[in-house]
Order: sequence, then structure tokens, then C-alpha cells
Amino acid sequence: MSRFGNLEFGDAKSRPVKAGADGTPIRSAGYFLEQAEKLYLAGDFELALRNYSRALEHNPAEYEGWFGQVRMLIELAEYEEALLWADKALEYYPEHPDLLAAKAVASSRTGHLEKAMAYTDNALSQKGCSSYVWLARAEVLLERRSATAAHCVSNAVAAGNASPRVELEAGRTLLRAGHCATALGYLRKAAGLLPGSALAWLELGRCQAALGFPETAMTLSQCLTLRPNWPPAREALNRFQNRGLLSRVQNFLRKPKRE
Amino acid sequence: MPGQAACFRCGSLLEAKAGAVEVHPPRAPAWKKPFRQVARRMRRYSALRAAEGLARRSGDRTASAFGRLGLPGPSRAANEPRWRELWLALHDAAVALALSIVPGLAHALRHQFGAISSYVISWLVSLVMGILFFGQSLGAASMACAFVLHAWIAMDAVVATKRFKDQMTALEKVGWRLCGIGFLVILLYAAYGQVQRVVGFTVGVAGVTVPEDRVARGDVILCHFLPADLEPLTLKRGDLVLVHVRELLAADGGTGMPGSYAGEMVGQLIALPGDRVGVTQAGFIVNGSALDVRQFPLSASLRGQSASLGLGKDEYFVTMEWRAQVHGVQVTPEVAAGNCVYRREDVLARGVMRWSPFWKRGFLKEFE
Repeated sequence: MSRFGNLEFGDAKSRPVKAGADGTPIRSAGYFLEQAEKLYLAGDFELALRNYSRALEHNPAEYEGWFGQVRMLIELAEYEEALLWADKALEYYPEHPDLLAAKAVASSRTGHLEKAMAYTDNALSQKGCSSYVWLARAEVLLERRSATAAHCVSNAVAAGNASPRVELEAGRTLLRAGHCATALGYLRKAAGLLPGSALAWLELGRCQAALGFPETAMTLSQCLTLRPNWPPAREALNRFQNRGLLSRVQNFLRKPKRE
Repeated sequence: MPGQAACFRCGSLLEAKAGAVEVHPPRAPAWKKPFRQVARRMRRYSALRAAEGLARRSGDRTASAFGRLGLPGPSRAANEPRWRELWLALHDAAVALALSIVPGLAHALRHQFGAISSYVISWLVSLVMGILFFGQSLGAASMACAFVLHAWIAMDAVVATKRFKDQMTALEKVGWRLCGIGFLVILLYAAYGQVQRVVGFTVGVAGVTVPEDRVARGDVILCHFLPADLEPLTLKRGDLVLVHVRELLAADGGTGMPGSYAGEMVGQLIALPGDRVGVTQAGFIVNGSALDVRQFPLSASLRGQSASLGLGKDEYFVTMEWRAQVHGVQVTPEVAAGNCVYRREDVLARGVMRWSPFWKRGFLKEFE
């Protein structure tokens, strides 16, 4: 592989995965990145992280791999590790806005709001801010209960050309901050555009459950169809079904019949 | 850019040094996660308070603590209205507490009954169990549960008031809740004790076996307290009565025999004030007529004794098995019979029901 093969041209997501002579895909960095993305959308962050690592094993200069690892560490609530890994990635991609934004998210979730704000300021001051940078900014502002967060979410969606992935992330950010009504629109769109994503259905189900919508059970069942016995979905569904005393008694009486 | 290790514009890595670059991120051990989560929550909470200017704790002490942490402390001006808010919060809390005499009422009036309904149902179940098994260990445990649940519901009503919620921090709320529950449990325990006096019922352990009434020694009898101005002849022969048992008196009176029982016990009323009662091997003879042994059985302590005595205006003859372990002490018929005589003030309550064991539960018979 020549050194020019590692240069970044365009969007990594559009990178075609080459197939071998027998039709099976060649397990290159691109293949593992694609797998990681699929696993992320399925909500399997642990496996997605492993796939990002495998992508980097093939090509350590793959920026998507580094950024994906940091994001997955954040998803797995390993914020200290995420910060450490973002610092390492920043050694190779100094001042990269996405990595700075990831640091902002990790700092915000660990309660270091001042640091988080500084990181997002730094990320926004860089050229070519992605939707992730705007979403990180929105998350920090939401954590600080700032009213301008909604504007950042709109900017993120605009920067991401309203891609389903960005819609999903926007919805998740808003849902985490408890803005369920606003999140619902984004998550509905995301689930509509990514019908095969268990994560999108789970988040939509959680949002509907928080709002007390009766269609929650159907949404979460759909999620469980895509990923059977997924603990977060199963837990969310159980919690929704057992939300009232009467429902609790009904479910208690119904359970033996099912078995 | 041949020969360049990194992009001269953005610094991006241009050479793949697979051998040198560590690509596997460090992972957090599973055991650390819960501890980190707690630390994170605390940090986020304090950061949020600082960010929102919610640090409205009273006094300069808090302000200086914030200063030490490098956070902007609350100003005096910001503190001033807090006292009024605090007073209103306490007022709301007092109203909620007063309404919670009936568990769940405060919540119901605020349309929040759903949040506490399971607790109210548990309280009701505990209370019913406590009443059903009153006087037994299961009843005591159920009653204790009822106290705690009642206290919990009351404190929840207090903590859920809006002003209280706004004024207190999460830690303060926990402190209030714990202290409140502790205090209320003690208060409720005392209140429930008084309810027993107000309702007028108590329980006592039977110290006598009455085959006709299915009462065996050791059964728990539900008794109704007697009024202080009770007519001496209101009680009837054969009634089970709760009496205050003194120590077994020696023949010369005065001194109690060692090891004899003193306390409250249920015995059977054999003779009323003014009666002449005789103890024979065949049973009791009251005013010259022999009593049915199935209805008026001789206690083991009186079996084989023979005595006769007349009761005074204010004296009752009550039999029961003494719990005396009077080793080496002669129990003469006079001693035995003398210890069956109780004054009116020693007769505390009249038996109404067989309470325990549960399967024997039922009203007591009247023999006369």
C-alpha cells in the first residue's frame, strides 16, 4: 500500500467495499468501518468499537476509526477512556473539530461543564464544522439549561443535510436532556428513514414512553423484532408495561399464561 | 508530499505505522463503572447548581465554601427572600403532614395519588394484617410495617410539595425524609398505642383452661377495658377477666413468694362481691350451690385443696394457674384461696373473644 492510499478524499462512508474473486467482501478497513456503522445503528456499541479497532489495525491513518472509537467509548459510558483516546487521536489529527467535540461531550457527561464549553468553543472555531460539532455544542448547552441549544440542533441537522443518522443523533441528544416533545419529531424521521436500525426504534420507543404514548409498546416490540432480547429494549418495554399499579397486577396475572 | 510523515497543512497522519501505533483503546473495568457514575452525578449536580445560580443556600458559610471551590457563591441579596420561601415551604409541608394523618389524602388532593397508590395499598394490607393478628408476632411485624409505610407516605407528601422541592437540595430532601420517617414512626407508635386505649380493647394471655368455652391456657383473649365506675355486679360468674396479678402472697400476707408471677393475665371469674365461695375436690361451691366443672374448672393449683371464704364488697374470686415456682414453700389452702381474691382495681378488662390461635377465633360464651 502506498502512502497516498491513506490520504482522505471525500466521505469515508461512500467508500466502496471491494469484493474478492469469489464475491466475498475483502476485509479491509472500509469493510470494518461499514460493519461498525451497522453495529452502531443496531445499538451494539461494544462490537462496533471492536470493528473500529479492527479497521485501525488495517489502516491506522483511518480517521473514521479513531473518531468512531471515541464515540463508542462515550456510548459505553467510559468517558475517562474516551477523553484519553480523543487526546491520542488528536496527536494524529490535531485540532480536529469532531475530536474536540467528542471531548466536549465526554467532559459534559462527566460534569465538567466549563471544560466542555471550552472544547465546543474550540471545535466551533475550527474550519468545516460537522453536524457532530453542532450536536456536541447542543448537548453542552442543554446540560447548562441554555435556551440556544435548539438553534444548535437545527444547525446540526442543516450541516448534516438532514441525513437520517444526524436526525437520530439530534433526537438522542434532545431525549437525553429530557426534551422529549422536540426529540420525538427527529426520532420519528430517523426511524422512518432507518427502519432497520434497532437503536432508532429503541430511542423512539423511549421517547414515546416518556411522553406516555400508547404506541410505545408497538415501537419497542418492533425494536425487539430487529434485535431479539436486547436488554435495553426489553427493559424499556417492561417498564412501560408496568407503569401503573393496575398494569402491574394485570401483567403479573398474565405472565403465567404466557409461559 | 513524498517523505512527509504528516500533512503540512492539517497535521494528519500520512504514514501507516501499524506496528508502532496502538489502536486498541483502554477500557474501564466493570467494577469501576458504578463508582464513576456516582462521582459523575455528584459532579454534574454541583456544576449544574453553579451554572444555574441555584446555589441559594443560606449564610456566608456556603458562600465561602463555593469560594473555596472556585465557584461563584450566592450573594446576600439572593439569600434574603429564601427565608420567606423557606417559611412558606415549611407551611406547605405542615399542611401535607397534617393531611397525611389519612395516608394518601395529601397526594389525592394534589391529584398525585397514582404515585403513592402502591404504598397506600401496602399500608392497608399491613394494617389489616396487624389488626387480624393483633397480639401475635406476625401482627406486631405487620403493624411495624404499617407504621413505616404511613411515615413514608407522610414524608413523601411533604417532600413532594412544590415549594419544599424548590427549596431543598437532593441531599437535604434525603435527610428530611430519613429524619421525618424516624420521628413519625415513633409518633405513630405512640399514637397507635393510644388508639388501643381509645378504642378500649386489649389482649391478654389466658391463664386458665375452660373446656366449655374452648379456651386453653396460653390462648390470647381479646378483652374490653372496664370503665372505672363499673357497678360491682355488672360482671357475671364464668366471665374471663384480665387481672393484674400480684406476686403470690405468703400465708401471713405482705411478702411475695420468690419466683411467683406478677403481671397481667386472663383468669375466670368464679364468685362476685358478697358471695361465699368454697373449694372442694369436686369443684367450686358458691353460696351453697356447686358449679359445673366443665364451665368452672378447678385450676391445678387449687386441685386437692379445701377452703372456704367469704368475699368482701369489692372483691372478686378469679382462678388461674399460677406461674409460681415456690420450691420448698408450703401452699396451704388459705394461701391458695387467698391468692384468688382480687380487688376491683385489679380487674382491668373483660374477655370478649378468643383471639388467637386464629382458627379458634370467636365470641366467648356467657354461662350465667
